Amino acid sequence: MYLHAALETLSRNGIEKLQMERLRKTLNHCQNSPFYRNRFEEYKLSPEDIKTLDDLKRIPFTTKTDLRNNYPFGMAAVPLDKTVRLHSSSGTTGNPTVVLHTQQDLDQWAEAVARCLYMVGLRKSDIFQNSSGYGMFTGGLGFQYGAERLGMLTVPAAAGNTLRQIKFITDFGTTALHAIPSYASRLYEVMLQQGIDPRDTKLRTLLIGAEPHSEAQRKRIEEMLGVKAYNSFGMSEMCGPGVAFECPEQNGMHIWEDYYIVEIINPDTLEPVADGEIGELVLTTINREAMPLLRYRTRDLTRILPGACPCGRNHVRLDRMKGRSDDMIILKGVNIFPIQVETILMKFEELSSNYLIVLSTNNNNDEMSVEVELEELFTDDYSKLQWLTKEITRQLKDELLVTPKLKLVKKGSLPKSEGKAVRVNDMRNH
Amino acid sequence: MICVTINSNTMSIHQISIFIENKLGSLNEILDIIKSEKLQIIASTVSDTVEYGIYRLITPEPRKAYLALKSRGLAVNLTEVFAISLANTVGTAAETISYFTLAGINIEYMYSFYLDNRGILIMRTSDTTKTLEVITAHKLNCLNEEELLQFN
Repeated sequence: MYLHAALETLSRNGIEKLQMERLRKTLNHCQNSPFYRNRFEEYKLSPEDIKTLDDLKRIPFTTKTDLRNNYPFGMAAVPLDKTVRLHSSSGTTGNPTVVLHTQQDLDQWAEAVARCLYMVGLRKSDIFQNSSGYGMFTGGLGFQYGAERLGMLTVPAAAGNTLRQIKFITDFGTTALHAIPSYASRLYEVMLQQGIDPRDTKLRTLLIGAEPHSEAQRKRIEEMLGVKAYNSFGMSEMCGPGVAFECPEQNGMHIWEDYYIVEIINPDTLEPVADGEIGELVLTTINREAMPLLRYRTRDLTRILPGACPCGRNHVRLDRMKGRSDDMIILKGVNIFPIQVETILMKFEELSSNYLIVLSTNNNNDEMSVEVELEELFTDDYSKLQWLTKEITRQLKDELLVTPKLKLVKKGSLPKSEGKAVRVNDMRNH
Repeated sequence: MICVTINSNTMSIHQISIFIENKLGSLNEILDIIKSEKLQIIASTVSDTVEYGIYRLITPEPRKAYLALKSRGLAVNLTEVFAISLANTVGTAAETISYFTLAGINIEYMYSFYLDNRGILIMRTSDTTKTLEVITAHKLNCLNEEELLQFN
């Protein structure tokens, strides 16, 4: 049931004791990083000032901008000849960010991913296929090494080429697949076109993540493919996949607190939110060598689920990501997250899971329209189609507090990327 | 895998209804699929709204057309309609429709075409059971799906 029983079932006290011990080590180690050494000097802080976990608040946040400004190696806390790999973001919005790893970092990362995979029931007898992009994108190598660590036969199919993915699944008897949610839907459609019933394959476990999705979308994927789908959370700044993962309860993702100290803050005031409230996830790494990060602002919005998990792990559970604080749309002064739209759309069986939010300016007035594909023509009756449009609009309005224009479109007409799906098209002229 | 079951009665036929966006080429996409299935189109009608419409058509093998369109990802509905065959004389339509009016049956939509010198009314009504009663009571002549097969 547990791959690392002693660590996974630590009591709350046990977790905090271990965190303090590892934090102390990390703070001392950070003095080897030019960035953190300067930061500590600037704030007149020394590692000894942090005596309890609560004292962590005295340390300033680290942001993506810090990573960019110190591109490429300014964050490193070890000499480069101790590092064995780097992963880098695309850098489409400025300098890319670089994350460095020592061999020990890679081992720890693989252990974390293996722990997650074991937790959802995967064993060495499973055949694991990974449809993530390999290379710089951490979903590729991250899952690869974790799955190998567990001893599974791995199929590094990489992203795209849907027909080949399906051939691998059927020919190799793939039992577990890692795919982003929008791609899982795509696989299903292509399987149908090929006359393959997904339930006839050996696929039983799906690992999804990297893309915000609703509970309804998960259920739909599970039903379509005849699998159990487990949500996961990772980010390249924290290695990649394996930061937090769902257990068989499928109710929140356990974040490994022997790796990270978790805080949830209000992104505006930067103060901690009340227990159970939604805010920005802030993480401190406590077992990294090459590039420790203190109080890193992830930009991901979530909350800590209250209460104990029946699985016996006391590592706190994160609710599914509510989107990125960067993804937030501000329309007429109202904050809107694409996931809110998705949650409503998923309630309607008549609709496909593809949708697009279009923001435009019309006579100096900002407008939002939502285009969604009609999956089934459930009726031959216009008034029922109109009722559907009205009902979706009404529910969206209740959720968003602005009234979007709803447009039903033909299936297959919205952009369907084989990577992360594009959900927002902002054409406002300001 | 896609299974189509239809409770047929010999009085009604099945029409194909397809969701179309108000976009250039929408009809051609559908017609090309029908063509590739080597199916005749006996009658068809497009109704327009601002953004989307429904294209309705009668073809000899509705199930075949349905499966072909659905497998290409189109949103399709197989709809039960009545095809009432009327003598080609003045006033027949008025008289026939009055039967439905008197029975309190709403006609949701209707279109017509000529066949062997008879007028054929394709009708979708608000109440199929009551419609059947009217058809039986007035001995109205309806085309059934077997008769449609002669067009293939």
